Amino acid sequence: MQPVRRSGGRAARTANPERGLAQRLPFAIFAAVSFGMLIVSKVYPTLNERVQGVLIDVAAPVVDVLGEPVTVIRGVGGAVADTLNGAEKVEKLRAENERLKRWRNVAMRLDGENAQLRALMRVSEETGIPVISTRVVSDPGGPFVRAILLDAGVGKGISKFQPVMDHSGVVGRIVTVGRQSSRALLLTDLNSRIPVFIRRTGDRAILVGDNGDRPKLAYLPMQSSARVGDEVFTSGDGGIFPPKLPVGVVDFVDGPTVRVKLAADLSRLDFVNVMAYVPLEKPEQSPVAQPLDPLPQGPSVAMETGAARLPVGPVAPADPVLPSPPLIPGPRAPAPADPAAASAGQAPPPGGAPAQPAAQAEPVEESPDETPPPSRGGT
Amino acid sequence: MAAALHRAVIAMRTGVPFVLGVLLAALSFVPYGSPEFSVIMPSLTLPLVYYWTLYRPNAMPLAAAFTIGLWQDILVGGPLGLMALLLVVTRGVIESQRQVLLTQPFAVGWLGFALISAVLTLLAWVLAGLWWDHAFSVWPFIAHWGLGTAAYVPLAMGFRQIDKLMYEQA
Repeated sequence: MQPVRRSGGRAARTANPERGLAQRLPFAIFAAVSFGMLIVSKVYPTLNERVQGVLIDVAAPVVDVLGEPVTVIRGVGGAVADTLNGAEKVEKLRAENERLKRWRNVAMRLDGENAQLRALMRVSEETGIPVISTRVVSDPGGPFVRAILLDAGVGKGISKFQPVMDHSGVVGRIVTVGRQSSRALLLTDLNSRIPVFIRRTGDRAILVGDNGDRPKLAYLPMQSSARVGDEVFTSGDGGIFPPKLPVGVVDFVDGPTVRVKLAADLSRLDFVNVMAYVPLEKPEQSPVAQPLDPLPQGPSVAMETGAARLPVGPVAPADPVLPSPPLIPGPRAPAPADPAAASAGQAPPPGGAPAQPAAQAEPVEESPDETPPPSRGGT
Repeated sequence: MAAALHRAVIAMRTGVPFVLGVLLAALSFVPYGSPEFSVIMPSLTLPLVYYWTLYRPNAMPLAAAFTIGLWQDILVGGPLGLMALLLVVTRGVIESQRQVLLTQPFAVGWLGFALISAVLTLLAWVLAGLWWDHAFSVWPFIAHWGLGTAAYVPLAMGFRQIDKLMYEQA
């Protein structure tokens, strides 16, 4: 019986080959077109990006409208939770308020000192970087990409590579811009690379996303003494990001693997600020910042873009952006916090930012310690 | 008048699953306030294409599956063509097997969905890895597949109600 059935099936399939072909041809065409698009978007990423830039203006409003009921439900849920935990929250906020008041005093004191030092050193005021506040329209929505859609595009002054922040720290950067919408790549995305430094040690590294919730620090110096709790800030290397933006804190160290817990709360991205920062140089192919590129010569370019760095010299102020009670030594450069680092010639760079030979106003004595340390490995 | 009404009914029958696909694709990207959930958010369009291809293939032509996939690619912001390819493959495979699957109870249809979505998730993992030159962690994909398989049941029940409205009462 079985051979007969097999023979019959073959006969049925071959009885009307034209019909079978007619059924399969559209499938083959659509599959080939889809696969072709996949190949083209890989080979011509710029084309893919341009097409996405045009289509993003169609996608964002649809997601935005669909998201309205969800936003309302989340708001109601949040209000109920707030009501239930009211007393506890008030106490928490009161404690936080006290803490912030202390920080405000420190900040005001440092601001005054900073202004005096700037006057002494004849450095112009840093240009304030304007920000564009915008609503977050979408979540990443899948395992591939960690990116969000924003409700602002070229029309509101958004352009590619601009840093995106929430109230606590860096969230990511703009990668696609439409007329009314844009897409920001989160720091957690596997294509995200931003130059950073560790505040305590001054060590530079590249913050590398890997689609997890805690990005890694790659290219740390071999002798880096990074430890849990160290604060991480943008270094401004490469000119894509302005320096000294808060990124997060080191929360995992295991040999060469150092991970950072982001300061930004990616679970509550309702509104973000896009910094209208003009990058010093734009990467040609990928929006990924080139690791440890030197800044262009001369401080004037940096100042024009709002990324002015304090000249590094024998006298430098404490970091004006990152006030900290133990680091208020007055006008002199602070002593290294870590004695081991000091003995190894790794004093934290004055001003919080690592020394940039290209941006120096005055020559500084070269020391053997300024040669780049061997890489600790990218992964 | 009757002819115009008939044309409107036909247009509705083919248009509703497509519009539903566009909306379900966008629904995956709505901010739910949980980054963990957004990473493993299931693809809601896969159950849609599976269901309509299985029960009403005329209402889910290849062009509709392709366009819904492309729309999803635009929302992701990654490579254009990835989801389009997956949905076109779903449409093609289910169409070739529908005579077998139609005679089976719902649970077998669900198992069929679990199987094809597992194969497609694996294909997506491989293609995405090649496109981004990165070996993605498999866990988000496994969770993505599991949630998608679980989501098939309520989605299929919803599609069944729409199906009834369109074909049995129209």
